[in-house]
Amino acid sequence: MNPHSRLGYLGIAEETSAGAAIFPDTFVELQSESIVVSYPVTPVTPISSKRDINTRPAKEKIEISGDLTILVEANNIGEFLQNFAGAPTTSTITSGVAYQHVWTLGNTNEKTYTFDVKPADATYVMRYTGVKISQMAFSQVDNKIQCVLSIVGQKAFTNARITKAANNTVSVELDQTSGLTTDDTVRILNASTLAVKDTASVSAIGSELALTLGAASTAAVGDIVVIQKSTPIYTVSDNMIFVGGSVFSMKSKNDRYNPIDNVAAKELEDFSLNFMNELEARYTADGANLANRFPKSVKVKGFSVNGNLVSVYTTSERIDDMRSNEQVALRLDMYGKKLESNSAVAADVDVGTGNAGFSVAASAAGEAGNDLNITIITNSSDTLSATKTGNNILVKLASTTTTSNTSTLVTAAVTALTGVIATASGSGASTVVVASKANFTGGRDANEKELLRVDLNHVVFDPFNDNVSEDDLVVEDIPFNAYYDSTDSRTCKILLRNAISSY
Amino acid sequence: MKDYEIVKRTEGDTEIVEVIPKKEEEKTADKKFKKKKL
Repeated sequence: MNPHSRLGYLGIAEETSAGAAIFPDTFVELQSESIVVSYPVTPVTPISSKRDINTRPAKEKIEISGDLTILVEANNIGEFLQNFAGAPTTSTITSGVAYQHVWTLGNTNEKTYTFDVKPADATYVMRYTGVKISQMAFSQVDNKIQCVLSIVGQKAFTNARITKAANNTVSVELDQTSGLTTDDTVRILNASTLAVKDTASVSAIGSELALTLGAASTAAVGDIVVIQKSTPIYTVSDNMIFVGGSVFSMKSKNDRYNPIDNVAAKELEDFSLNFMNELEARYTADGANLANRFPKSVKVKGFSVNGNLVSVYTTSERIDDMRSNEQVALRLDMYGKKLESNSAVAADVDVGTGNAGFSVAASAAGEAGNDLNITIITNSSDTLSATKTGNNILVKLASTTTTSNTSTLVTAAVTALTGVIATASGSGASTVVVASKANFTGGRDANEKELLRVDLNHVVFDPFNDNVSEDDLVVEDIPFNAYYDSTDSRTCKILLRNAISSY
Repeated sequence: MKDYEIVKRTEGDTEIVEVIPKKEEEKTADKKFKKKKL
């Protein structure tokens, strides 16, 4: 066997039931992995008329954890975002060509995956099931966007041992079947020589200790059972890059309404973004097999986001934000390859229904229109008004005279604002009612590219200073923590645009 | 709509549009104007 790591692979599959293996058929290019399955023992150290401390070992609970490093491209990252935060909300831009997937991380629950890792040129794989992601750490290395995935597994199939001699039979008894599927092929290795004795498909998994194979096999007690490798097929898009492929935008609230929809491009030289799910493995005493030492479940707890922004010091803007503990909105757009050329479309939104409803559209076609948003509240005075600050439209309904608040009058007020056109639905004669913030949607540019967009509505900078040293450029390295934004009811939104129709 | 007028102004970077009901004499004047026009 060639021990060169490049000959290995990572295969993944979404599970339908946590910890129940699914045969991995999606393959992801891997930079490195450090998953460890601890099969630990704990020493028994009694007072027993001798100085030797470790009298005998007792088997301990088994933990499965580690990191995988991948380079980010528009296809692979969606699988791991789903693993981290559950199924996205998907919309079609152009059928068969371009789709958008949106996650509001923290608002949804994770999914579990089965991971296969083939070490080097081995003919077998290590399998991890019930895998959850505790952290997705994005950064750029040599200008390539990369993500380190920290995982916790529920079970692992490193290998199993035959527990009863089998002589030309399909029925095999072994010390573990957890992790196997009926889509697998297993190999039986001679315990002494590690030569392959038999290869057979798995036709049925009778119990944790019994297997039915697709072909009669022969095995001796102690022989080793491993999962045979697959033949990977990769569907890889262009790597996302930082300089020349990403755009960083930022906006301080400064008592303005909703900064995330008004971000403006800013200089950024380096960054880190860490999305964290607290995970906790739970164990129960529910059997005496090796598999019963695995976690019974892995529970998800809190969600948080932090990171760093690095740029050369040019203004006092960021240190002022830090001093004021200001709410700052951050957006990082990482682009991939071009998906299609089409006509640009103007973003719009429908507000209310029937004769009390109206729609508002951006005057200019383009994706930027999706940052426009409208909120309807009741004015403190008896006057209908509409205001627009940046991309934020605020309609204030007359407090008393409801006939001043018809859909026709509201649309007239909104249309008088720059950059938007409103149209009443139906007769427009009914009274518009208050409505919480709604963003415009559906805006697109003529040339649509793959995109991974991270929106953090409410970031607060941790302490930093613009320190000087001799003959050096002053660089701001700003640590931050993200907070929950009550306006949009989220800490973080991730939008992924690619050619994959669903996850 | 004919009984209202739209007043637009700017304060800082905020556009403000108000929909103000016309006073009775303005409505009457409008009607007279329309009659003359006819």
